[in-house]
Amino acid sequence: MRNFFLIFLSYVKRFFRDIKEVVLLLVIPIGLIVINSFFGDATLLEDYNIGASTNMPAFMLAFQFFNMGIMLYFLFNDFKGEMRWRLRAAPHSLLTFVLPAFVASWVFSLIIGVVIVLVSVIFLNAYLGNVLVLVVVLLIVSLMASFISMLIFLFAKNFKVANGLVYVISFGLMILSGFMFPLGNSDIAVFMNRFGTPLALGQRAIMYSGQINDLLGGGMEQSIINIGILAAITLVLGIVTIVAARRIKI
Amino acid sequence: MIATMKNIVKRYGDTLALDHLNLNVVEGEILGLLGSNGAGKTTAIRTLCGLIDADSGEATVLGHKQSVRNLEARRDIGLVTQEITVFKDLNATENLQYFGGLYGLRGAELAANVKEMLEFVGLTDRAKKRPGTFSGGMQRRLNIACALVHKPKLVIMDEPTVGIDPQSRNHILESVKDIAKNGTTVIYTTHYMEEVQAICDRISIMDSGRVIAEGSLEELVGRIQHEQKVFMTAIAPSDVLTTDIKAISGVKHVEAIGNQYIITSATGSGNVSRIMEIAGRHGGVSSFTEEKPNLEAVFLTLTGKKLRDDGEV
Repeated sequence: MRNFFLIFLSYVKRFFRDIKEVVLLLVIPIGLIVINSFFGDATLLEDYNIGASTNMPAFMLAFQFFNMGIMLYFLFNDFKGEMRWRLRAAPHSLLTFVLPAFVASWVFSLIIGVVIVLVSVIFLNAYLGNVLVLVVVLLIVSLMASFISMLIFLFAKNFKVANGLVYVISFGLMILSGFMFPLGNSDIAVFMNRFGTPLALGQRAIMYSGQINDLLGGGMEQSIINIGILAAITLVLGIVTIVAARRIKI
Repeated sequence: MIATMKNIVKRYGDTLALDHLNLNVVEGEILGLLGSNGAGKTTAIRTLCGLIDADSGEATVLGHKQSVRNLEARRDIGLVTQEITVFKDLNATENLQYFGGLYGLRGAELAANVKEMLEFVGLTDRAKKRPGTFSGGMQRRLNIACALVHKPKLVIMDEPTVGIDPQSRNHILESVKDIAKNGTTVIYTTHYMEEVQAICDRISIMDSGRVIAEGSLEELVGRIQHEQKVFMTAIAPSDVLTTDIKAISGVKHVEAIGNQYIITSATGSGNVSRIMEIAGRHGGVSSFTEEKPNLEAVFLTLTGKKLRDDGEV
C-alpha cells in the first residue's frame, strides 16, 4: 500500500507539473464554453446561461478523452522508454507501477473536470443539474477514458501513434456527438446526438437530471438509463483492458 | 562470489547476444567489464539484474537465482543505466525519495540517505532543482545517486560516463572508488580503457557475447607481453649501428627510418641496457622510450578490434 501511494503521488505531481498541458486542458474547454455562452436563447432557462449550461457537460466530458494524451506520454516514457530498465530493476512487478499510474490519471482527469465545472458555474452561470448525477457521470467517463488510454498504450507502437489515436478518438467522439457541427435532423443524427457516443450519453444524463430536462423531454429516469449504459460500456472496456494487459508483454 | 553467470545464452532473433557467457564477481571488488559496442555487456548485466531471462544457463546474485520473476533478488542491487533515467518532472530530492522509497526506505532513514547521496554526488545545492536544469554531468551524477540511495550490496554501472565532460567523469570515477571502499561490489561496464585502468581491481574482456579474458591489468598485459619495443632517436644513425643492434641476442627486428629506430625484442631479454650501450658507442641518442603493452593492445590482440566505434578491425 505504501508503494501504491508513493508511486501514485509521484504521478499526480508529474501530471500537474506539465503546466503547458494542464493549461491547455483547462483553457481550451473553458474558452469554448465561454464562446458558447454568448449564444442560445436566454429565455429557455431561467436564471442560468443556456449556452454555458448545455456546453459545460459537453466539453467537460470531451476533454476527459483529450486528457488521455498526458497519461500516455508518461506511460510511454516510463514503461516503453529507457526508464523501464530502471523501474524493472526495482523489487516490484510492473503492476505495482502501472496501477497507481492508472489511478493517478483517473484522478487527474477528475480534477480537470471539476475545475471546468466550477469555473462554468461560478463565472459563467452554468446550470449543474443534479450534482450527484454530474459527479457519477464524470467518474464513469473519466474511468472509461483511462481504460481506453491503457488499451492504446498496450497496442500502440510508440507515443506518436498513441497521441494520434487520442486526437482521432477525441475529435471523432465530438463530431459524432454533434458537439462540433450540427448533425442534422435525420433519425441517425438525432440518435447520435442523444445516445450514439459516451459523450452524448453523458451530456444528456447531466442535462436530463435538472431543469433542462423540461426542454429536452428527458428526466431523471432517462439520466439513470444513460448512466447505466455508460457504466456497462466502461465495465466491458475494463475487462478487455485487464485481459489485454495480462496477454501483452510490455 | 557475490554474483555468478554460468553458460548464459541469450538470443534476440537470429542474433546471439550472449554465447555461453561465464562470469564471476568477487565480493567487494570493482570488476570492469570491457568490450566494444555490441559485445553483449548490456545484455549481460540485464540478465544479471533479472531484467531479462536468459535462454539457458544460470545467473545468481547474492545467493538468489536470477529471473524476471524473482523480485526479491533485486532488493540489494543498484543499477546505473546507460541512458539517464531520472524523472525530469521531479527535482533531485524527489527523485531520490522516489527511488529510495521503492526499496523500502522511509522516514528518517530515507531523509538521511537522500541527504548523504546528494552530498556524495555533489548536488546538495541543487537538491530542489529539476534535472532538466542540470548539465549532462550533473544528470549522470543524479542517475548514479538514484541507484545508490538504498545502499545496495552490488552496484552495476552501465557506461556511466558516456557523453560527459572530463571533470564530471573524474568525479564519477572517484565516486566509484569511494563506493567500493565502503564495501559495495561494483560491476563497471565501459568501452573506455582508461577508466578501467584507473579504477578496476579486475577486468573481464567481452567480445561476441562471451568473456575472452579476465584478470588484473598486470595479468592481462602479461598474456600478450611477449615482445618489447624500444623507440630511439640516434644522433649518428648508420648501417653499422643497425647491424650491431640486430646482433644482440633476443632482438627480433630493427626498423630504421632516418635517425628513428624501432627495436623489437623478446620480453625478458634485458636488451634495453645493451641497446643503450651500443647506441652510446655510435654517437648516442637524443630520445629513448620503451613501449609497454597496455590494455588497448591486449584488447586488440585478443579481439582483433579497436575498442571504440571509430576503430576498425
